[in-house]
Amino acid sequence: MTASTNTHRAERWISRILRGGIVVSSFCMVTGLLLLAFRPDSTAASNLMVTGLLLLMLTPFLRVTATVVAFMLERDWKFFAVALLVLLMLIGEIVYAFL
Amino acid sequence: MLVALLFGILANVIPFIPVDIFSFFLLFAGGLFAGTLGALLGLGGGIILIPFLTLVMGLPMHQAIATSITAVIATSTAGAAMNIQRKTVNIKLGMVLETTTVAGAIAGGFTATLLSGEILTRIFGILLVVVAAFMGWRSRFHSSAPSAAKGAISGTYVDEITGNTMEYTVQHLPAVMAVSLLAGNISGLLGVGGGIFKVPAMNLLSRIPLKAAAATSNFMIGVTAAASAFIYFAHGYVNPGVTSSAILGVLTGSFIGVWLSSKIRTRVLTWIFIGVLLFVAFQLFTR
Repeated sequence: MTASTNTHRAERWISRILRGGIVVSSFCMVTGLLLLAFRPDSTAASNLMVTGLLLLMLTPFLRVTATVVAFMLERDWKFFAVALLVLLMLIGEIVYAFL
Repeated sequence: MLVALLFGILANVIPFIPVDIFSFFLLFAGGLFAGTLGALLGLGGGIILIPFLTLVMGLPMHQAIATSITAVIATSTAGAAMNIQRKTVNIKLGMVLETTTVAGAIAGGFTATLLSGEILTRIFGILLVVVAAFMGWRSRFHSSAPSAAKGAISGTYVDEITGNTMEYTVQHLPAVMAVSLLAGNISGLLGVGGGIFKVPAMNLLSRIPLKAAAATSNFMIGVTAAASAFIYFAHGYVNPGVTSSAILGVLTGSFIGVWLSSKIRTRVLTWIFIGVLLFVAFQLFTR
């Protein structure tokens, strides 16, 4: 497999992840808001919206992870290291923020 | 599993304030306006959304920033999905610049949690004035052509309008990394995307064609925004009802804006907007 077809595959995957993230998280938020409109004290509504927001916030992580994997498959170690650094900063920051 | 874990933590962190139907429509409308105007003027929308949330909806500054930064993830994600397929995004360059924007955003996010809403509002007022000046300058700036000199990273894409293959190499990478650090820091601190600083820097310093610069910046912004969004989330500044309503508005608006931008001329709109920015900045200062 050549490097270029790998790049195309990676781009397709990243594009799919982004699209999927937007569709699924918007769906959760819309459903949550509709539920809230009919049952104002529903915890399910809040949970759905939080899930939607979390999925949305996680899409960038998946995007970086996919990039890390893509550079690894291409054996492009320089950019693999760069993407990994970004991913580690993000993970470190989340862990620190919540602890 | 990660989601389940985070969800468990977050369920305890987030205060749940129900949104009534009237507020929902108001928030959705505000998001719609910010998203449409943002896409028309080549801004992320955060710069419009935050004043709306604080001045019109009366939301505390930290919550307004948290809502905006989450909406910025949404617009970046939707835009990047399209731009990657158009091959205008330079993922390698994006990742290199991301090392500094993410570091800047994390620092900015943590700084914001230490500052009072009042101080953040003042800093945001200053940002509005700077952005107004930038937009005035940008409206008469001529984008620079790609350089043939050898650069650290190269890129190529096919321009959809002219059909030409655009080849470029990235010049002065360290300088653009420095601008990205600053843009990331502003993004994390004030809840905006920061593309207005990165795009001209990429074009003027690195000699990257405007389309590739804008697409790469947009691709990066989602990751930058996610970095600080988790900090705001962890501090309980993201209200699910408010944020969901505004995001859905911004997303819908950004599609409308992209569609409208091919139909109307944005030159006059830009100058009206500069006036509005200065007026809003004045409101924020004298509050």
